Amino acid sequence: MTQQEPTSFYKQLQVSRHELDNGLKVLIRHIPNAPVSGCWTIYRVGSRNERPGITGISHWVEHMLFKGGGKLRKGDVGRLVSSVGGEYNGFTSKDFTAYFEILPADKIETGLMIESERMTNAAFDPREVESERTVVISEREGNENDPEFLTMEELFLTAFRFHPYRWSEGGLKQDLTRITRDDLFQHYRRFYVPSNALLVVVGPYPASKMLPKVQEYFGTLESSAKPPEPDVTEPPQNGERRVDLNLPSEADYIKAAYRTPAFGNEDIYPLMMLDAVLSGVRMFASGPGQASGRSTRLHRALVEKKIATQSSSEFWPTMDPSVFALDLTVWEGVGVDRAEKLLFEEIEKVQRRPPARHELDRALAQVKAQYSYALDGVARQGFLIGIFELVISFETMARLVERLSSVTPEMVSEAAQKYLTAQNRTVCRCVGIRNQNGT
Amino acid sequence: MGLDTDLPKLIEEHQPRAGVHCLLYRKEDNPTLAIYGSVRAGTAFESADRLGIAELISRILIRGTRKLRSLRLANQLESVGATLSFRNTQDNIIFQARTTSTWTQRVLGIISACLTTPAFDRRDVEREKEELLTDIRLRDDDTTRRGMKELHNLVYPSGHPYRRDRFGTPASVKKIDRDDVVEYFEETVSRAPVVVAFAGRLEKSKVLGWTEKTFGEREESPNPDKDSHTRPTKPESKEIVMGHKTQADVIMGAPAVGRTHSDYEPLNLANVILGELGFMGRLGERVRDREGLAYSCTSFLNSASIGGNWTALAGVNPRNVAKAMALMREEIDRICQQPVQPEELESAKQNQVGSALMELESTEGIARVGHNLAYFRLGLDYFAKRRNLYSKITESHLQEMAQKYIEASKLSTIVVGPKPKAASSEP
Repeated sequence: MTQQEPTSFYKQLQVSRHELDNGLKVLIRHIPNAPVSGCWTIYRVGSRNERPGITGISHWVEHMLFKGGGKLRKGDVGRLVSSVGGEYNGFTSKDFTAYFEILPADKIETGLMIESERMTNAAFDPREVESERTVVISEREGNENDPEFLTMEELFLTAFRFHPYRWSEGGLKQDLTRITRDDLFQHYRRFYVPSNALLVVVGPYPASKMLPKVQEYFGTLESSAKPPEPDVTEPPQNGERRVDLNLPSEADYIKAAYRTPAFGNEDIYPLMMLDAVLSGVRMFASGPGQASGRSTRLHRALVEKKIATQSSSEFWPTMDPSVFALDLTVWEGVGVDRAEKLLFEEIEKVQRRPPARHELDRALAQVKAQYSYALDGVARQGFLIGIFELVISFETMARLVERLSSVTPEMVSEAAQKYLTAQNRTVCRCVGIRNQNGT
Repeated sequence: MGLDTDLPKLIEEHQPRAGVHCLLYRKEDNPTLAIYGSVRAGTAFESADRLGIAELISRILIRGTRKLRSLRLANQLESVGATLSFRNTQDNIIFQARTTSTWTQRVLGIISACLTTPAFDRRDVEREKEELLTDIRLRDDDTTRRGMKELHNLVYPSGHPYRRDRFGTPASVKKIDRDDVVEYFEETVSRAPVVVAFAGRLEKSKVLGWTEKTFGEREESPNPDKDSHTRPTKPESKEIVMGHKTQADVIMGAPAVGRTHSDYEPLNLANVILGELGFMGRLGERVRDREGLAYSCTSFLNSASIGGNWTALAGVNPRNVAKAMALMREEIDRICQQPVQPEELESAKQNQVGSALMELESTEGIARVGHNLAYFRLGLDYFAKRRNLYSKITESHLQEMAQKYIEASKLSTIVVGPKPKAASSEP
């Protein structure tokens, strides 16, 4: 398929949508002559689907799905993929768990087989469960080495009092030591069903050739009722929440979170543009395609003026109401109070006065360019298509430029006035205890 | 055969000026352009009293030129969704850019200005020095990065350019002033060989013209440090206690070979089996998958232009440090004492062949790979030659390489983190 200039993304992103009788949704993106194919399975389960006592269980289940079952012996996933130079991995977020294989185009069936086996035949050998317990704890402990991780974790634990978004995807250590094999298996059986999953295949095969293969591997899997959605609603926040940490750290950190609606609310688009105005667009690309944000407000006001070594905003569409986050690493010698004051002054500026039109135009240019970069190569496309489809729809991704183009500077300012208020804010600061760095 | 073996037909190689290599991969149906280039003026070319200067320069190059101040430069890039970055490595200052083809001329103009007429504003120099000093402190508080830095001090002998800390030291960074920066730029960066690769939608004559005009004549081969090939180090063990951390890092390493050394290919395959194949290779399979001791246990081979090193590392609970180290050594001993299985070797070869294809599936990957092939003078037919070479590499070659480079008596070890305790079977 010839790629056009980035003016009509919907036409570029030709994806066919299908559904098997057992409820599995399938999206197929045909890229003629692609030498590589990608197979993504995305499950609608993440830390959002957990409760106190089993935090981290979704992530642990993800780990277990690399340990064989059915036609797959332990280690087969790695052996089958890496022996052809492919890439594979899985990851768990607050809303979803995703697995992928990127393979030479003629090996796509390896990916389909792996994904179909892991969907219903994972073994959960008790010895493997115990072995993986220390692995997930080790992963957690590696994160605990980082004071920024601890600060961010505290931010979310404070911003949310009830909703599962409060704990990190890896879970809390006290739960990781107590979760049982049966807990894991029940969680797997509940959420790893065709009707709760989405399969995305990207590569040189048209739907007419790929769909029969998908049917062959997945069509015989039993249908099950879709698991119920979590029913925890975080109550409104009625005042600012603050936490100050003193941790061993060679830098001071300030993190803030403002409660925001879920994807589907019309305010999402002005909030995305507000994020872009404050620190640039990162939605579609990583690595060389990622905008640096040096021309954006937070960088100019804080980093250029030596208040911060880095400062950014972050807003990702989520299934449930979540947060608009601010992040700052304080310049050495600058007090956290002063840095915080100047950070929030930037928010007040955009509340008082709408951004200039060129700031929005710049953001749109970045979205369009990053979209083009993401379409260069198979690897990232499947993920983007799948995530958008899971949260709302892949058409929304394709139409994102049109939706964002309709956002006016006034709408950005109004969104900032509505959501980025002190009453709606949680602030977590880490004042580091210096000079702990070893003998 | 695939894209990897077709590279000689698909990529054009040019040398518009002495010391300047340019590679072009045209893909007209792709509306973007990826650029990957290097100036051979990285840390290895610093003088001993100006450590950190290459790193500093790589950070300042984006901060404005004589005609384009930092904010305007950033705006010119970001207002069209283009990106440009510079970073420092042992050998090179790397520049990478991405743009939609509509804005190629603008981006090329900015790259040219950054690399030929940087402003080096005095305030920017001082500013970046402060940031670098902060980054040194943050790096030294990170168990993995601190351990890797210390390992370099053990595996590279005194005087070897790769022993240098890319960031410099606090003392050396503080001493650098604007005059030093300008001098290094004029004497080293502006004269050093350049390799630049373009992949995507491009106009050949414009790109070649730009390359020739931007870089001018360059020295074909810079003078490496005279002490670069020095006597081997004696392996050591070291412990850095960081009582405030939760997890410890165990890092082992030894001197290895440069990218073009004749031992590279079999040694690389040995490392693929030991630390990469499947789920982090034999090391990951043993320490993580079987024993559950670490989230990550892997190894890698770092091979640059005048040498290299091999490293294995794992992040473990302090009470499991001794056990993890013992298991890692057992696996290293095993690959030294017993030939790998034929199917392992075949999988490793197929892994490397397939990995190249994965990397070449995007224009960004093609630019990077094309650059690396030219930089190391491996030739665009490298992948085809490698397939042929692989057919001759046997299990005994790998065992020979393991014994030569990573056998236990050659390994240095660093443990960084809270004090190790006795091994325990409990989580």
